[in-house]
Amino acid sequence: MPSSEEIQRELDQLLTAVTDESVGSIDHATNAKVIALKDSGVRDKLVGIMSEGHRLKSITPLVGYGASPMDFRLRFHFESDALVDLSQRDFIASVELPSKSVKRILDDQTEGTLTPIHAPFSLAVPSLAREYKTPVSELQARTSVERQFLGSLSIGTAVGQVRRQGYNVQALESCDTLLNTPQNTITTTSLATNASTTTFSDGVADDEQNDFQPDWVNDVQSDNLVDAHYDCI
Amino acid sequence: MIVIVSALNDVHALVVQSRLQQESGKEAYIVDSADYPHRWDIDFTAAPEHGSVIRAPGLVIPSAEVEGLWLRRVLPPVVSQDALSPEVVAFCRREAYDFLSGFLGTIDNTLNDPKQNSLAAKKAFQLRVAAHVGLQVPDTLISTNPKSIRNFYDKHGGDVVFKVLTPTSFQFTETRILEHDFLVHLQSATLAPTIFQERIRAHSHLRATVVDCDLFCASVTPSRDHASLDWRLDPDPRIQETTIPGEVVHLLFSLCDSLGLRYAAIDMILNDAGDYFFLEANPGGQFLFVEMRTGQPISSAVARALTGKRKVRSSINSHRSTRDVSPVLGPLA
Repeated sequence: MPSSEEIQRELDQLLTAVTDESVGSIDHATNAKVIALKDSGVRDKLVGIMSEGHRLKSITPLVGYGASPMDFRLRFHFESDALVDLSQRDFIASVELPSKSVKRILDDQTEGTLTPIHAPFSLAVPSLAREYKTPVSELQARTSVERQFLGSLSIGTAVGQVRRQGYNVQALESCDTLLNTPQNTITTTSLATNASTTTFSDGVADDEQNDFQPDWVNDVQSDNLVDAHYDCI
Repeated sequence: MIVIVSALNDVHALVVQSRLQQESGKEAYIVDSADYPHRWDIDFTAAPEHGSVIRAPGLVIPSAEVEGLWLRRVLPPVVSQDALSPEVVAFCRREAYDFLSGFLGTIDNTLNDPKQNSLAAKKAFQLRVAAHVGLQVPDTLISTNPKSIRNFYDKHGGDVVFKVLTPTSFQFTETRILEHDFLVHLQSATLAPTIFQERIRAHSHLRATVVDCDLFCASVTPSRDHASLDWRLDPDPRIQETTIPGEVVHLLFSLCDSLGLRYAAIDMILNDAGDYFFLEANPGGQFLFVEMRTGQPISSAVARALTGKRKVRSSINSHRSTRDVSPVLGPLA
């Protein structure tokens, strides 16, 4: 039987692979897998099952993001060399994409009892699973152009060589990090994604349509203020 | 001194900052509104002769010395939630927001004027204004009514797309075709309004970036089938400089003047018949992805605008000036 440490290493490798795959993708299933594999509850359950000698065979999205848009479900399915029925081992992680967290871990049989959370048409239907993937390898041309452009302005690749004092040192360092670290479309926090804009919409933040601060508007509304004034920033 | 309000690692802000220094010898300072007031602060005085002061690490900027203000990304003030109740946190944020919005509105030469920007960003308003100035706009329905939506779908023989009005931070909400199978979900449209538009089949997707009197136009050609409707789904589309007819340029300038926007990133479609359709204007839209591939000097134009060296659109100003248009729907109805 594999040790707990061996299983954790295996899961770390899987997480790395899925994370790599999610970079450049606008694929809710892939991003949900990243979130689930980072979750301690899911990890504990996986370790518990895999330490019995069972192997994780697949992680499959169930009904698809859209039937219950805030509640993306992944089924973890196992296999074993032994002739045993592993269907009882399958479980479902219910990933809440907006909060980037695992909301519930459920046995397979309870899948039908999940209560879908309603979402408006404009949110729910675009959430129906579609795989929009661009492999990282195919983004290298874009990255190269960006790097060359910013490098010509001594931005990003030449921290400290240009006049940036005090407050802005951090900016350049962040920029440099940004260039060297492709963004995941959803596992970064929304604020970080908004703040760390590359030159192009990376999908989730939808920075392109920036109305100065969509999150801020939400916060204001949650404070029971009416966003009726037009002079807001 | 130029002040740019944005996240400190915002590449657009850094590029314009660099342009300002290289091309105008102007100092530009980036401040993050999320850091107000705990990393930088403002002393505001009502009397103009006394001025106001922005204090940031290592720098004191009298507001009278601010030649230009770029509201590139105004992120919400972050209030430490330690030891504060949620109500107090909300209060502090509101107070910071209220003051910042008021203060930023007192700065001359702002890109864009915050008073105009917010309304201009609203899809319904800009679509109406676009149609009013003479731009072709796809037949559009914004509604929560399932029956109206179904009628709109039937009216166009099912050749309809839909999209959200505001961006989401947690998922990508691309423009999609309204497939017949989706109609069963229409009841959920009652929860929030949705934009439905007749589908315009694109010969070319166009991005027109307006900076004062400059207009930079580029075609965006996605290389992936799944991005043919919404090119944002292709992280690396082909982007080329292109031109559009003078009358369309004139209409886009009219649109920006009517919306009170000095800067806008405008999405359009050119169909096979040679008609140009306005889709939307993004007052805070990005431009570097265009500049990097086309070489169009958009960041330099932004930098120039911030120094107050505004060119005059003589032909447009005679048509309508930004000061002449009241941002209300009445006159446009």
